[in-house]
Amino acid sequence: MALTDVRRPAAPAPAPRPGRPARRSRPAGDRRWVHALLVWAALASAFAGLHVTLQGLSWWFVGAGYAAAALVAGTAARSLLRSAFWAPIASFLVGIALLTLGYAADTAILGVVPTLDSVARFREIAESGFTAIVEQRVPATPELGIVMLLAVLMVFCAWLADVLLALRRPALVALPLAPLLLIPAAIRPELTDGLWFVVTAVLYLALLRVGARPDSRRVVLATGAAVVVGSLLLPYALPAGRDDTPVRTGGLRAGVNPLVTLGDDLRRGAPTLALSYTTSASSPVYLRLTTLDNFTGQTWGPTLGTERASGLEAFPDPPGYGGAVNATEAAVDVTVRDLSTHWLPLPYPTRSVEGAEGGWFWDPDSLAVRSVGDNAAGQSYTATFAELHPTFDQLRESTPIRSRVPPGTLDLPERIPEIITTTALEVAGDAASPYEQAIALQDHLRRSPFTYSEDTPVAQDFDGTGLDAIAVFLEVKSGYCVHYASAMAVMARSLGIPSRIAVGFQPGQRDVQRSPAFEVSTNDLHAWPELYFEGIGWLRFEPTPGRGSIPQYGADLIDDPRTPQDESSAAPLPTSTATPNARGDRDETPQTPEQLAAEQGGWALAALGVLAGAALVALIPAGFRTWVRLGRVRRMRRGRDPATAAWEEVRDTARDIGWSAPESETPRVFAERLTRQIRVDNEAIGAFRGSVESSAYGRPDAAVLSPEELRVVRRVILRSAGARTRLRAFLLPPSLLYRWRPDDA
Amino acid sequence: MPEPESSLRRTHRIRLTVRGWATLVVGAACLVAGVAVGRHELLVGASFALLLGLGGLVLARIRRPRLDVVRLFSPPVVSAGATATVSLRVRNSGSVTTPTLLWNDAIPWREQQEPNELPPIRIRPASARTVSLGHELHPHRRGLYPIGPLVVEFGDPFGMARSSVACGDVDRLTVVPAVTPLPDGGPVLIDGDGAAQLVQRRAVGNDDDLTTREYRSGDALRRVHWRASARHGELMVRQEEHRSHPDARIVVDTRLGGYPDAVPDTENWPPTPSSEAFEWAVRMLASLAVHLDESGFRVGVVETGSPQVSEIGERWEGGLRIEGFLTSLAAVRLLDRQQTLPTAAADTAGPTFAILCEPEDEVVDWVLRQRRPGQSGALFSIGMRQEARERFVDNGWLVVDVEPWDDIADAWRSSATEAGYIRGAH
Repeated sequence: MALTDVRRPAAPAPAPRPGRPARRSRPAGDRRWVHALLVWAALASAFAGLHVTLQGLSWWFVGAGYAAAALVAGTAARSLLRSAFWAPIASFLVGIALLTLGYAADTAILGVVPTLDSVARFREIAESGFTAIVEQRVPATPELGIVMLLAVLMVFCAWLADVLLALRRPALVALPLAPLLLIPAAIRPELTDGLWFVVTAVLYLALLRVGARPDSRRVVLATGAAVVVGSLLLPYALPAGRDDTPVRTGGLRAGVNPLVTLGDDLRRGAPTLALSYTTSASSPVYLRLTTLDNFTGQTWGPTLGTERASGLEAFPDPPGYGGAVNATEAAVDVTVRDLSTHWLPLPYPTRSVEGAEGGWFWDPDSLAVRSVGDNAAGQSYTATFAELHPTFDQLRESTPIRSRVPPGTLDLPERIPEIITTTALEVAGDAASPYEQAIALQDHLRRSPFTYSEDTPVAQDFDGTGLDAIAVFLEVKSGYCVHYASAMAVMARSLGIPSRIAVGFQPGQRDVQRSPAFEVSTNDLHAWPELYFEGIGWLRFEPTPGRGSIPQYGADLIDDPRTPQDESSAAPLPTSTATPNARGDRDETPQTPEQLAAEQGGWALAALGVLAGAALVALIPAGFRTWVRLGRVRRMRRGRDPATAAWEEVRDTARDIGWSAPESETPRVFAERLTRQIRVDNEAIGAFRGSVESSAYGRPDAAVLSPEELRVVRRVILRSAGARTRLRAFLLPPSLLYRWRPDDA
Repeated sequence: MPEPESSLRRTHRIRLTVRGWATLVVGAACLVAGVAVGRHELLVGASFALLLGLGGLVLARIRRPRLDVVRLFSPPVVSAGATATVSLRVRNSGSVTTPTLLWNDAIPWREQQEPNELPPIRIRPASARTVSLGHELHPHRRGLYPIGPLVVEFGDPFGMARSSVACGDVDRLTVVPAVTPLPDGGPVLIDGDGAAQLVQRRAVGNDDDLTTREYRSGDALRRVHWRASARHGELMVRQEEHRSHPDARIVVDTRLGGYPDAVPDTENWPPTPSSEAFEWAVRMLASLAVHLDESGFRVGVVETGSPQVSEIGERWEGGLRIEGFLTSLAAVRLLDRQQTLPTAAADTAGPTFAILCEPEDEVVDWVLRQRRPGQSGALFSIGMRQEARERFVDNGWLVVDVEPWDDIADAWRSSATEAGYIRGAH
């Protein structure tokens, strides 16, 4: 239409007819399998991008396997059945059947035909999967539910891609691919692995070639490479691309398991005020959100009881508390500000809460208060709690009684990394009582080689509370509260002391000097271990160096010489206005000489890099010219028309130093012209011309034209020019221009 | 027709495919979302889509080939309904290898055309720069048709953009009306004077018709035929036959008013009124004129409109004279303008043929005057109205009724039947 519409509106423009029969020689069935393989590879590589969010590899094999099964079913159906209508249905049914076989075989007929029970089973697993996704931190443990959800996702994606390819819409395969690639990005910024994006992008481009017209392979590869590489580089040139830091507006959120996002919340840039409180207690209080006592070996989770209508006016006695321990009643007025959670921040052990609005209820084991539908944000309430003052004797004499230990608080997985148990035994093996063992553990963790760092675990990729993470943490000796709490809790369990992890806020700081009000920011988010002592109950410990305050139980232990004195916050009397939230790692002005030197070295390196880059760019024409020359020499060596190759090279050399060398000239005429101008070493040119002629016109077997001769002649020609001309000929060879615009020469 | 250089003609065009549009839209949406949310991943996706789409567009622009096209028709003049072979020599005059192209020759009539694939044309060696293409044309109507330019289409490797370019010039293809060989015999061959002209016509033969006779005194010496003299042993001179060509006239109505079935033609450019009856008349004219010419008549074509048909040339012009005549027939059109009819040449002898459809009364009168009394007149009437037809019959014309879809030879034969002179095998 385009060209002819002015003159003749009806003239048909060349347009590919839909449904054109296959042009290539390969049969359609073969290509179908190749395409299915391509689609599978693209899906699998996009899926592999999830490795940043999940541990291990098993989930990948499962998901990729299910995708492969769905694709194979679709492609096979398309090859075998005449009607294209059945292929999507076949692949869909195969996907369902395999999912049933894999996850609900016992409820299904013959293991593959799903029944209502299977549906219920799927729903159950899916729910557990969703819970696991919500609860776990990245990288998450691939639990059954998560893996099943991924398998379902992959089956669906493969089915969709198969249908799209069959509809000859390969470009739409991006529909299943893009969401897969964006999953990590949705979970957390800067989590995506660029490698798998590149692999997926390359495979997607290959898919786009499906059914396309044949094209020069060089152009296809160059375009594809430019698009893929450009898409990685271009975002840095975009204005918004640099400002990449996640800007999260709004306050702190704490989910069902606040531990999951604790590290991220601590690492966020600008702290906001989470809550403020005033207290009548002798020391600033730790406010707990919840406790986590369910340790799977990979992560700590809360044990959620059922909802119950319990009033907050009266709390039960804390578990394990015997009346012998001296306790004083204290009150705390809490105003929750920018904190969104279903847990109520409370001190332990709470006696009663007044003023909280909504359906809150306490859990009898942990005394944590939560709600199903109501939010703690904006609440203002008064809580009374008991300050426990056990004596040292009471603490030392407390021995765990198996039958009265709260359930689950001694459970450990079967295999514990050796370093955990050995460290626990080394540190506390010879302590006399469980309490002394606990103190020993706490002291060990607070002592010098251990440092507080929120970033090291992320940088070294052991961020987490699982056994493996603890093992690495004990070697690296650097981490933040989560690691310290988890390490101490696990070691305590290995020594036979019941333990759990409490998540909440460290005391915070007074808003102004001597003010009764404390302000707790998001940076005060904290996790600490609680250990159980028979007759006393749960006692908190503070193993994290530089955070919180060390609890003072049994006054005569305060002077223990092993207690480190180097921590600013480890003041013997926590009633002082200690600023426990000093964060050493936040110091951002490291101006030591080494660092300055390194910085300067970096500048020098960058300058060198820029220079090298410029030199490389400047050498591009020379490189291209050399490449052309080497190609001709190769042609000569292989004996493929060596005369033409040699003569083209000689002519180009002459052009390089500014002589004319029209195509129409015969070697003889050209050589005569050369010999007239070059007085030196005429014989070389003459001999070379003779070789060229005999090679071009002589018997085929007589062709002896060595690259050596060419080299000699080249040198002769180049020597005839001045140094500057030769340099120019090297850097900007005019013969290259001639290659592109032969008409101008 | 606008000139090829006219600004009205675009020689190239780039457009995004649906895929390209979708990619760009998705890319732009991702870009906006990415900038708003500040997510690097979205920006990477946006860059990927935008680079893909815009890169395709750029590629479609910079890979536009420069091609020189030479087009040759074989045969150079083709008759309607026959097949003409077009051979194209395409030379890559650019500096890079062309992409894989789809090509079509632009043709002015509707014809099923499969886009052909042209593999990349390299620039080196020089012999690879030129490729030969060919395709066939099936013109079904007479006319002068512009063929070309060569339209090539190509895209980027990922199907984001398409570019089409017109290369080379427009060449004129002459499609002459199909000439049907008419069987001997027909209403012409007899007229009131008997067979005298017929014999003479037989003797006329061809141009080199030579006989010799013995020398008689008074013959010019330059007429001596020396070879014959040597054979006969006495002087022989060339005797040239007196050539006499009986005249035949064919009257054809080229006035638009004479063809009620004429409709504006949308297929050809410039749009001309086209009429099936007129096409039949032209075909009949061509076949009849060629037939009469071969039979030895000197054929004159008389038009009711302004003259468009060139004369069949002199005999010495050889085969080309027919071609010139047919080529002029290729371009014959119905004329709208009224003009005075040429006065009838009253002294012309020989038979008169008229091919008329629905002529105006003025034309009928005029045609009736064309026939000299005593000479035969035959009318091929393509559905003429009754009273006009009666006038011809009353005037002693042989009237053959035909329809626009009738075969020419059949019409000719039926005219012979009508005249009662069926001879020979036909």
